[in-house]
Amino acid sequence: MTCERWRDLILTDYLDGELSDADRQGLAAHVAGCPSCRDLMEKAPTTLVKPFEALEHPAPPPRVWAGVVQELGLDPQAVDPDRAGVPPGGSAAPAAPVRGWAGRHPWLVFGLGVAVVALLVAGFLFWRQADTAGRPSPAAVEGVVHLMAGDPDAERVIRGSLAFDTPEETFFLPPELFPGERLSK
Amino acid sequence: MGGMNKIDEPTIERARRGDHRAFAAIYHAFAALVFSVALRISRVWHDAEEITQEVFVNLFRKFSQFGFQSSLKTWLYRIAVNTAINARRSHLREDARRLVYEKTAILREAGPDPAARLQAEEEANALLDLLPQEQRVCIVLRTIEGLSYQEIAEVLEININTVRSRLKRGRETLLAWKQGEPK
Repeated sequence: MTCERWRDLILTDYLDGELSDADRQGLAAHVAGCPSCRDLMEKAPTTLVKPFEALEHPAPPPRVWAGVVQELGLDPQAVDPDRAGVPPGGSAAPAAPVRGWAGRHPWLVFGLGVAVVALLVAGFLFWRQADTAGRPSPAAVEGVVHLMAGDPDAERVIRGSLAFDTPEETFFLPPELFPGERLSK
Repeated sequence: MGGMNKIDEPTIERARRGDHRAFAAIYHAFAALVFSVALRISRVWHDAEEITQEVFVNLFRKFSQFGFQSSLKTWLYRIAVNTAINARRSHLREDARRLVYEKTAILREAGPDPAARLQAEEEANALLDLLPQEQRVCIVLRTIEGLSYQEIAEVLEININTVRSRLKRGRETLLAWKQGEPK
């Protein structure tokens, strides 16, 4: 084997610990009589390997994981390894696929839905009953408002009474609120 | 390949089927590995962050394609190397004079003798800068990541003798530079 071939072997398999037993013995025999190859064998580790040995494997900052979670639309709390009991580098506990809040509480969602529908129905019935319980029609109210034209206090009271369940008697306004001259308009 | 990224096969299988927690476990087991490769190839801290994010987003989306023909680690190395090479290619087109390394990121991390670590980083990066990309990738995977020749061949999907050849040529370049004889 030529010096060039031994040199190639020093720069590859020797440096990287991949020499076969036969090559290791052959190389030892060669460098015993070849100062040039011996010199390369002695210097190569310092020159070609050592500068990289001190390098570390820095962990990416937390924002990288946050970016992954955000881009994939994952639930941040559900994939938090601390909450999931997953040690870094360890295996995860068996877990169902992550679902949203509604998926985790189906009966609560159903109950809320029923309650909303019931409230809407009750509200509608109440409105119908109030409308037919002797409440003055909007046209009648507008008529009185028209009579009270120019008196903001009176108009506020009349319209305000509509916002509530207006008993018939409150519709007949106290005389002190409406000066005679205005009523006579 | 090293023992720091052990993750069991059932976890991988659950992640393949879309289990988010299993995916999170895989991220936390392999993130440093991917980030390190991305950093050594791109040499830009911010780019390495983006590459790492892209690798895991792609992993999640394509996990069903993982067929256990190679180890997950080999698969991840392959995605990381390819993503980093593509990012570096576009990065070099964008701005060849961009900051090569974020020194403060190294100094910020706790550890003994940050000045020495910074010097080591700078020396290693300067050496890597001398090499053509394919040689640099082989040096990174072998000398920094500690992969065997066979593992490098699997990651890069090349012949094992091509791995040897790239390492040899890369190291010849580094030797020549050290001896003041740039080729």
